[in-house]
Amino acid sequence: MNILKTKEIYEKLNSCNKCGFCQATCRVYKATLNEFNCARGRIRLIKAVADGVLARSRFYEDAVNSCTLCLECTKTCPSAVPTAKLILAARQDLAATKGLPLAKSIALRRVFPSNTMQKMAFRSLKMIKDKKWFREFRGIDLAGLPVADESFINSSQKLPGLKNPRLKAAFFVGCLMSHTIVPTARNLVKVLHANNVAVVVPKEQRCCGTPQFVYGEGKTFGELARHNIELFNKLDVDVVVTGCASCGSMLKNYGDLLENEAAQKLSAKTVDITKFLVDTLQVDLTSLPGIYGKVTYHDPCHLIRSQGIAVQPRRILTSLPGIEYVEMEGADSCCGAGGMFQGFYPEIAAKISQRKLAGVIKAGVDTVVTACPACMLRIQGRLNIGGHKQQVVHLVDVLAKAYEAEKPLAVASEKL
Amino acid sequence: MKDWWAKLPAILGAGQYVEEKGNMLVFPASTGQVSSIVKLAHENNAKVVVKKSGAGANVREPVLILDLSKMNEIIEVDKENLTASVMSGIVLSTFQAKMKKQGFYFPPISIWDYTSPMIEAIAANHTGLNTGRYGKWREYILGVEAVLPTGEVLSVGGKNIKCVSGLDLMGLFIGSHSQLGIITRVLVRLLPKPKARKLLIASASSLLDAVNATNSLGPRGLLPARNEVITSRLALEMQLPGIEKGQIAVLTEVEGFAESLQRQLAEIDVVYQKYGIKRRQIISEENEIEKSTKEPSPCVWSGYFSRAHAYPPTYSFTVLPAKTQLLIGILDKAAGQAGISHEMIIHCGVVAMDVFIDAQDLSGLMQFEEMVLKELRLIGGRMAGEKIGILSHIGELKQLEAGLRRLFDPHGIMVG
Amino acid sequence: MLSSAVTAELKKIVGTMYCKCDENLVYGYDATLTQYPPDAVVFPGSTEEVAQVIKLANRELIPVVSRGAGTNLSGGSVPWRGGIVLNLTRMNRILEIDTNNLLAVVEPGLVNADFQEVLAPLGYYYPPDPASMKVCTIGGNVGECAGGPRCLKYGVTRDYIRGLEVVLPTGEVVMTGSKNKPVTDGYDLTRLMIGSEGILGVFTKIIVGISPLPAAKKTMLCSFARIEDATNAVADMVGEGIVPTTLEMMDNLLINCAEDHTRAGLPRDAAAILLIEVDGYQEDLPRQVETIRELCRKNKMREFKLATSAAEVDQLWVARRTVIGAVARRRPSYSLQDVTVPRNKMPAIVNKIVEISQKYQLPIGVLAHAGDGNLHPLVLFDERDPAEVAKVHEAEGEICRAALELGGTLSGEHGIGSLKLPYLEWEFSATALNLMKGIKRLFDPNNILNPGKVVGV
Repeated sequence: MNILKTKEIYEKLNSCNKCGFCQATCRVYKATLNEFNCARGRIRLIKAVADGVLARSRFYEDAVNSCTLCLECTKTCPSAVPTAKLILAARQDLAATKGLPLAKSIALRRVFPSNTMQKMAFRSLKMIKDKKWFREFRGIDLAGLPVADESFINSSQKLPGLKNPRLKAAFFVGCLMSHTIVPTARNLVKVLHANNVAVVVPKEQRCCGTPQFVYGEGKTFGELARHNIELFNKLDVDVVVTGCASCGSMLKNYGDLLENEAAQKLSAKTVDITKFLVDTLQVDLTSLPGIYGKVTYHDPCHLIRSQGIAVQPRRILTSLPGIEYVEMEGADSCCGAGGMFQGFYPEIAAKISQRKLAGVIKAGVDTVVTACPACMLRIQGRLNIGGHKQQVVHLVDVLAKAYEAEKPLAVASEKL
Repeated sequence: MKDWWAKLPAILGAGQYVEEKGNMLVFPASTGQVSSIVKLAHENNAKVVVKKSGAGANVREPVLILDLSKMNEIIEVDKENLTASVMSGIVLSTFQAKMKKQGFYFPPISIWDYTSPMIEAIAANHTGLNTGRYGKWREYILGVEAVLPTGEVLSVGGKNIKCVSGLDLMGLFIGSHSQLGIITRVLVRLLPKPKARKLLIASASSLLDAVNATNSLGPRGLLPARNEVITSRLALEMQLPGIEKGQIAVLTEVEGFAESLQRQLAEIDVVYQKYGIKRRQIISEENEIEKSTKEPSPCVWSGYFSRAHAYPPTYSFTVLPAKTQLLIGILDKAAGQAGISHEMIIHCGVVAMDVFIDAQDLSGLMQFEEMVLKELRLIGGRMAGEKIGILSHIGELKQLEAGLRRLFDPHGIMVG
Repeated sequence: MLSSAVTAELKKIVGTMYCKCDENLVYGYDATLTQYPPDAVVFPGSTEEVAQVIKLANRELIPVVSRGAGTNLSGGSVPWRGGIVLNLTRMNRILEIDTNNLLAVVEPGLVNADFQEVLAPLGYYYPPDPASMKVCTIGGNVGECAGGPRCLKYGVTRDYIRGLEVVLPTGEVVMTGSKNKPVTDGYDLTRLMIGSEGILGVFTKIIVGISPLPAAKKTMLCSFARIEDATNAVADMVGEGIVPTTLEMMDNLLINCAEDHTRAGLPRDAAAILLIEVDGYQEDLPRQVETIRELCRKNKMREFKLATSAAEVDQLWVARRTVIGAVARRRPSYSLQDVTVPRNKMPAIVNKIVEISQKYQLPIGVLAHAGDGNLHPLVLFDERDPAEVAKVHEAEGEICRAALELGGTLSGEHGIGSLKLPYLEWEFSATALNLMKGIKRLFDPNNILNPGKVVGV
């Protein structure tokens, strides 16, 4: 049966009262003022397709695909209509009935799932990104994108061991962190080591499956999920730590999506690094030497709304000696990346990012801290393109610096 | 002598009609009577006018004059809903006094209206004493019963504070000089009587200082209930306590809760001193602030009304507070060039200016008016009774108004 | 369907990217259950473009319906005769803010909350703030004469509009009123336009009065074991001369829905709660709060809570503003009624609503602006069940009739639109209706703007 007609989805399609409150928080709507770019409009169209009165036209595809899945509407909706879920169902329906366009299909089925293909893709990217025509591609700052010569996963198979670790963690790195911001990945390990947590980075880990899931490529998603579940469940670790909000959110959803014990086991074990540090390890940062900077924090959508984590990163930043923390306007609104959204809808993404940048500039800080590689790269990229001087770093980058200042750590440090 | 006038005795009863200078003056006692009379007039295409207090009817052809002074009862006072239903012939000062006795407060009133029947006040809708803080008639009329120029009785509105059903017919009757119909009954909104009031009487030697001082109160969050600036000759005639010859009077009254009045007045005092306005007296006793006109001095508001009412304003201008100074300059210049002298009462907060010109100077009046209107248009001001603005807009508006008049009064019987 | 010639001309007027003919499905609804797709949607960017579109419509006799956010609650924005939807959301600039003269000039597509956000740092606000302020537009507010919880003390939209630049249904542009506070220099056409629900003109510039933010305010929550106790408390407050800024009442059903959504700590077993706010000078407030507390106690209140922090105040208000949507957790569809009765008749109408709810076996939650007698009964049902839908319509009719019998009016805030059209003759005499229709025909000889709505022409 068509997913749109399942009781679960169809009931929810009918639960929208068209109150229109979603317009207030939908960043895409604010950028275009098109009714079909807000939850109310999208749901109306999906329902029309489900009822068979609307064809799956380009317009419909556009309406369904032009959502960043930032979850603001879902949080705002007084009737608790699960818009994100409905959009994902619609995308699944589109993938099943019309198939994915070629570019997406190659990316989602061939490139992301294979570590080898990923390596080749990033290597090609590294070769062209500084060439004149590719410095900026659809609003994405390619020139400024750091691409590592060797992925973190490959280069971190020999990590220093700890004598008596209090806990053992497996690190789910994620594609972006592994290929682009490698120093951040190293810093995450440093931070865990500084807290006497042993770290293992399984070499065979693959893409978490977010891009596939988000565009309705169910088959590939299933393969990836099952692979990761089997791999990580085999390990003798206490937690699976992530430093990417999207990967973390996906892993934590494996249980609900696959509905088997193994998936639920992995989901239960997965924890975001910020939450792990504050809630489990209960790090005490007050005695660290002061590192100085005026910073603000950007909430990744997948951290604040998917996982409900907002207090912990701020707790870390405000308790670090020497750090001046400023809360920026719109800290919790989407940065405009939306994964591949920024490439498919560059004008809308640019407008959304503009709002984020305005908040950064108004806060008067020199550093933006966040907890997701995609957000990091997007905000930094837009700052670069706009000629602004602010830096964007990951929370673990700040922490690692503090720990280093206390005592130099085993793994060679990188400049913050 | 018109044939159909012979039918009037049957409607009105003995003694309720008299021929005067070729016109027929009638004194109806109820809505039903008014309706029957107007229906007759409508059928006979005869002219009808509502009597204006003080003025005689100024028409060439014989006309029916409706004097509603017999329709002056208060039909109902609803304490729970804070409304009063009155016949429209009731004199305003009488009504206000009766409401005060019952613990209520009814603000709309201007210099012109003090001794007028309510129907006249509504028909003219002058800006006045209380407009700055309390607004005008539209904010106080909840319901209207009117006899249309066809004789039909129209009843709209009710005791509801909020009402958006249909089109706002009530608004059309206000300020339309009875052209669209004769209001026979009004349902007005009452306010609870303010707990306390204090009146500050101050003097200024410069009109500009006085006006700048009063205009600066608003941005400071001070909102007196009444704030009048009166030029020296008028002020002298009003015999305001503490005001001597040659001084410009500033009457500022605050009302509300007792706790804050002291502070409000103190703040106002400080502001006035900055502009060189000297405090003369503060009156806190209710009976001294407002005495009946029968009693002699020291009156204040009664004195104000009786002196100002003695020779009614020739013009009534409205400008934005920031442009008050400009308008005063324009008036001075025009008066000087036209060789006439003028006195003013300025209702601050709006800002509205009632300009009084001595009867002897009527010859220069045309010149004065022409000069003032030209300048008034440039500073975006308005004049009661005269449309000012972009000519094409005015043309269109006049057409619409003519259309409305034809709609309500197909036979064109209402004069005024 | 519009002819290709007309479509081409529309594209020429507003620009190709701002004239759309294939997105009609999402511009045919508002926040009610009615919907009807238009033939085209245009997004004009200026007064001139609006005027040209309307002139074209007059020439070709095509209906035009103006639209802001499309959150109308009476069917007013639904293009039920097809035609062109004139979407004004692009015209959303604040043209001028003049704090010296307490006024601002804005374009119709400006979202109410966005306007407030710009004014707040300057120390000002725009008092009419309907519950949907986060999404509704000023133009829509003027068209419906929107109310909001602050009406009792501060009045409605009508009291804050000084002037309008209007594109008349014939395409001519006029300015009614001015930046000055209203002057009597002819008939009050500004007032006529306010609340005319899009049938007399399209507003392209709106001159509003703004007010300084009140010096201080206090927010209280009172719960009662019976609805009568709550309404009596309200009557007593008014009798004491206290004019609260806000007096919102919610009944048991709504308390629970709101609590489900927000977890604000509302008392789930109370029969009614009153959300009360007073504002003004700091030193005047404590006595008012005490008086209110005493009056509530006199009327057997169960619990009295005074918000002590800005966060607490926000929380109480979020519960109130989102309750309308929150009811969807109970039943999939709801019908939001809008009835107004004189304040002292509130207990009577609430009793009647309970009766009607039992008669039709439909849950009805009562949300009221208790201070001005304006209620929003929420009838809960499932729109896919035709039998229930029929019952809802009948219940609606009975509620309206009951309100009218108690001296009330059909609509306090949401307008007549299309939904209340059948009941119009219950409230207005033939004389009045003929005048209203006459006015519509005078302004709109070709019946172009929002035809059929409000007065049924």
